[in-house]
Amino acid sequence: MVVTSTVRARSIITACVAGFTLVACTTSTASPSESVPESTAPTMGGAECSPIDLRTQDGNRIDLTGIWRSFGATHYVRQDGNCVWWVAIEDDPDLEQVSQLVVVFRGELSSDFTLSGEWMSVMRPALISGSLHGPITFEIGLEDPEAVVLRSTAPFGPYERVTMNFIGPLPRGIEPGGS
Amino acid sequence: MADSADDCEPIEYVTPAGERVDLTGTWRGSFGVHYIRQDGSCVWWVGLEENESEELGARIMVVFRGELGADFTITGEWMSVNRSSFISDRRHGSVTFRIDFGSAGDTETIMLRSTLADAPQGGLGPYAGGVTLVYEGPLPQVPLY
Repeated sequence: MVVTSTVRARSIITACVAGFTLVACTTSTASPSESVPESTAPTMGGAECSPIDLRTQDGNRIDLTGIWRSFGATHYVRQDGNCVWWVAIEDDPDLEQVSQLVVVFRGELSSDFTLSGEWMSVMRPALISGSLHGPITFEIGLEDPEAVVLRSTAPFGPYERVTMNFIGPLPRGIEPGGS
Repeated sequence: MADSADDCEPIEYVTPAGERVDLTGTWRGSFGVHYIRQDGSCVWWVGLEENESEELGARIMVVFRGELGADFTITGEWMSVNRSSFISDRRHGSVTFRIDFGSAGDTETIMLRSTLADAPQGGLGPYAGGVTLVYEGPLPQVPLY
């Protein structure tokens, strides 16, 4: 059963009065039932991905969407304008999918052919360095126009000085509802 | 919103019963299973679509990155990272969740309810329409390197 907002808010306020250490209690907006203003829209929300046109030396447009590999993980990458997100799943046939390392990333492409963002390890309590997340910048390597790569100079974490290689487009699947 | 991981601020929620809230764990909603990681005020997750015929996330995975507010909300962005390329109508958007507390018998549970969802490219997205994610338990145990 779901506690109603009114009851819940009262309970929370009661908890604050009772002296619990609670950062949220120090604000004037402790009630979760209040509406959230539109102005809280995130800075990199879907509407704010800007168009970007990066091209190889041969003039081919760069679209990072697809499957990439790095540090023994398959990366499912989605680019939308200058926004790039991915999910990386460690390739380990001995582990169930839900027990594998999963790293998520979001970043932004720049006209200087860099991709800057942050990653977070979702599934594993600690990586090699003990870190769960960090900022990261990749350079888009175009030496071989047929094999665009992403190079990281990160000092730690799963992307520590790694090169990501494009494997191919996302696989086509069976359309939902289709035969 | 924090621009980088370094901007994750310490934050502490407690339930009405006074227990500290950490959203890290396994959650389930109508879309599928969500593995959530909270680090201070920053919340990330991967959502794996669940359907009867395929393994989790075989067609669609959703990445979310948001920030906890002091008003018991999470506001952030999601992106559909499809493992199949045909789905294009719900690729990304912004969403706000409200943290709710409930109970099932003697067990207190936590829920995330979407209150504002926007998918500017059309399509409702996985979190439109008051979607509720319910906490199921800790993250699966994974081995260290």
